[in-house]
Amino acid sequence: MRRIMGLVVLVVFAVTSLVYAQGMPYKGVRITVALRSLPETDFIVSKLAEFKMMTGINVQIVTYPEQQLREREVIDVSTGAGAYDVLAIDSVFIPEFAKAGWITPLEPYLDPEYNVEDISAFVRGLLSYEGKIYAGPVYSEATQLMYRKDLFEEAGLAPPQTMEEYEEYAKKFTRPPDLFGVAMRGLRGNGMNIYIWSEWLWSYGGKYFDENWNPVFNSPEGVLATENYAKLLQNYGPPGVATYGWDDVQNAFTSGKVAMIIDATNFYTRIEDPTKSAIAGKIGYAVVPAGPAGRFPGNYSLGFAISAVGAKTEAERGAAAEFIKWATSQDIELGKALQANIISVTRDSVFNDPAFQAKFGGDWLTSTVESFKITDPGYRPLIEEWREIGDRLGIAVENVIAGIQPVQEALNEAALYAAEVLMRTGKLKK
Amino acid sequence: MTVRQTYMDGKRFFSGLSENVWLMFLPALIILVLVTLPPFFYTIYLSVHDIDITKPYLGRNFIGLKNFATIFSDHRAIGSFTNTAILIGGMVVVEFVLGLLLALVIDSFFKKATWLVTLIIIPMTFPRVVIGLVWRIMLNPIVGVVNYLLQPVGGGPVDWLARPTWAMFSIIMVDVWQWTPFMLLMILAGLQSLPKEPFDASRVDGAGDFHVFRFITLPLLQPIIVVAIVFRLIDALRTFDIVYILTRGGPGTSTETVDIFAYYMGISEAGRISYAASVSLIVLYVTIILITLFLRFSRQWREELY
Repeated sequence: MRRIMGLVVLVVFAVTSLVYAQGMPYKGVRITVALRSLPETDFIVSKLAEFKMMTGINVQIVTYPEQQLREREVIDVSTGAGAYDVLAIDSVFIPEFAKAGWITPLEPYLDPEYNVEDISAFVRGLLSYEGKIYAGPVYSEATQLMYRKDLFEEAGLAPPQTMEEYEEYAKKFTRPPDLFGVAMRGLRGNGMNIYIWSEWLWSYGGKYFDENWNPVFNSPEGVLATENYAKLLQNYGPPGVATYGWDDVQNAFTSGKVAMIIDATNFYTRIEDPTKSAIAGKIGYAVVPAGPAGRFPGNYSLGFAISAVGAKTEAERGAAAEFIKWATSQDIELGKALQANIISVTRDSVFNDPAFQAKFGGDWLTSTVESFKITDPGYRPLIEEWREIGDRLGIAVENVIAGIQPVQEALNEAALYAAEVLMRTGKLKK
Repeated sequence: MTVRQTYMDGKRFFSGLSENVWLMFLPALIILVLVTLPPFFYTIYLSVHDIDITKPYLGRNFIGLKNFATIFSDHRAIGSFTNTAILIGGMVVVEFVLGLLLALVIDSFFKKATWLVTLIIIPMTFPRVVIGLVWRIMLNPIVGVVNYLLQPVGGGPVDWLARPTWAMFSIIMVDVWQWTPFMLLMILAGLQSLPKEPFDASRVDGAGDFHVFRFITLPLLQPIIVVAIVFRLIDALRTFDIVYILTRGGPGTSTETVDIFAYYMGISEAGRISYAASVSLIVLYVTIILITLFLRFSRQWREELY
C-alpha cells in the first residue's frame, strides 16, 4: 500500500513539474468566483475561455444581485463554508473583510507585468487596508456634476463652481411640475444618501471622526452641511426625492425633468443612450462645485479579492490571484472600454489611450480625469465599522430630508450610535 | 352532516390498517423535527450571546437576557413593532371587509361568472417582488401613472413613498390590492358550500336580507372567516418583500417592520446576529400569543353569534 502511495506521489510530482515546465503552474485547479452581474463582469466572463487557454485554470462563476452578493459572501465566510475562492467586494467593505481575516492580501502575488502603479491612486487606496492591497479593481467611479447643457446655454450660465451657485441655479431652474433644479440620493444607506451627502460634510469643513475616533459629524459644520443638503432636495428636488436611490436619480434626469444631478461618472453610458434617455447629447459634465473647504468628489470601486476561507491551499490562492491579475489587467481594462464601451475606468493608461480619448473625449473625460485626481480614498472612512455607522447615518440624513426629525437631533443620535459601535470594537476608549 | 361522514370514513380507514400506521408518518415527522427544531434552538443560543458575525475577533460572549433588555430601550426596535402592528392590522382588517363584501356581491349577483373570480385572483398569482417593483414605478411622484391619473380629479402630486403616513398607506394599499382576492376566495368558497335549507326556511319565516346575513350567513361562515384571518395574519407577518422594495423601511424608519429591522441588524446593516435573533424570538412569542388569543376570542364570538 505504502509503495503504491509512493508511486502515486511520484507520478503526481512528475506531472506537475512537467506542467510547471510549460508555464502553467495552476493547470487543472478549479476556482469559484462570486460576483454580481455588471457590464464589467459580463465582459470578463465572456473572455474566460482565453484565460483557461492561457493558464489551464477552471473558473466557475456564481452570480448574485447587488443586494444579495455581500450577504451571501458574509454568510459564506463567517460560517466557514468557503464555497468561493474569489470574492467581488465593494471597496467600503474591504476593511471589514480584511480585519475579520476573510480575505488575503493580493500584494505578494503581484508581478511587474501587472503594473499596479497604473491603477488610479484613489482606487489603490480604496482597495487597501493597513497599507496592503487586498483586491484588483473591476470597476471604479467618482461623483461629478451632470447638467442640462441646453438649459444652461439658454439661460447664459456656466456650470456652478461653488455651492452657492449650485443652489442659486437650482432655484432658477425649478419650475414644477415640468422641471426641478436638482436630484440627488435621499434614500438611506452608506452607499446611497451618505455617498453623496459626504461631499457636503467635507465641503463645509466637517469630518467624520476626530483623532481619538470620537464621531464629530454632528459638529456645527456637519449640521450646516446636512441642512444645506436637505434644503436643496426639499426646495428644488422632485417630489419623493427623500427616498431616491441612484436609479431614481438617473430616471428623473433622463426623463428631462431635472436640470442638475451629482452622481457617479459611469452614468454617462446610460444618460447618453438615445434609446433610454430623452436628454442624450444635451448633457454637460463638470467637477462637483466647491464648498468653503474645497471640492470633494466621492468615490467607489468594486474589486476582486482572494477569499481566505475559500482558497485554502496555496494552489487555490495562486490560481485565484492569477484570475484576479488577468481579470483586472491592462489588456482587459482597455478591451472593456474599446470593445464594450465600458467607462468605469480603473487604470490611468486607459484614460491616456488615444483610441479611448477619441471615443469618449469631451467634457466627460476632462471632468472624470480631474475628479479621479482630486478625490480622496478616505471620502467615506475606510474602517471595518463603516457599514453599521454609515447606514445609521443614512437613516438620520433621510429623516432630515423627509422632515421627520430636526438636523441636530438626528445627527446626535447617529453619532451616539457610532460611538457605541466604536466602543464595542475598542477603537474608541470608554 | 357531510363533515361527520368524512370523519367517520377516516376512522374506518385507519382502523382497517394495522397499528403500525404510525410508522408511515415517522419519516415525515423526523424530517419535520430535524428541519425546524435545530434552527429554533440555535436561535435561542444566539439570543443569549453577543455575537457579531462580521467581527469574529470580538468573540462569542454569553450575556443572558441582555439582548432582550436592549430591545425595550431601543426606540428603533419598539418603533418597528408598532409599525408591524399598524401595517398588519390595517392590511388584514381592510382585506377582510373588502373580501367579505365582494364575496357577498359575487355570491348574490354573479354566481355563474367563474371568469370573474379568475380575473380577480390574478394579483395573487404574481410574485410579491414583481408587484413591489411595478407599484414602485406606478407610485413614482413624477413619472408614475397613479399621480397622472389623479391629476384631472384635482389631486396634487402625492409623495406616495417619501412621506411617513403616505408610505404606510401605500404599502397597505398595495397589499390590499394583492391579498383581498385571497379573503374573497376563502369566503366565497365558504358561502358556496353552505347548506341551502336554513336560508329557504328563514325566507319562509319572512326574514330580511340583513337578518339572513346576521343570523344565518355569519354564524355558518364563522369558522371559514376565522381560518381565513389566521392564514392572512400569519402570512402578513412576513410581508418583508413588498415593504423592502417599496420603501426599505423608510422614509427614515417610519415603515420599518420587525422583520426588516431584524434583517438590517443581523445581516444587512450590522452583523449583530444575536440581537436580531432576540428580536425574531419576540416576534415568535407575540405571534403565538396573538393567534391563541384570537382563536379563543373567535370561539367566544361563535357562541355569541348563535
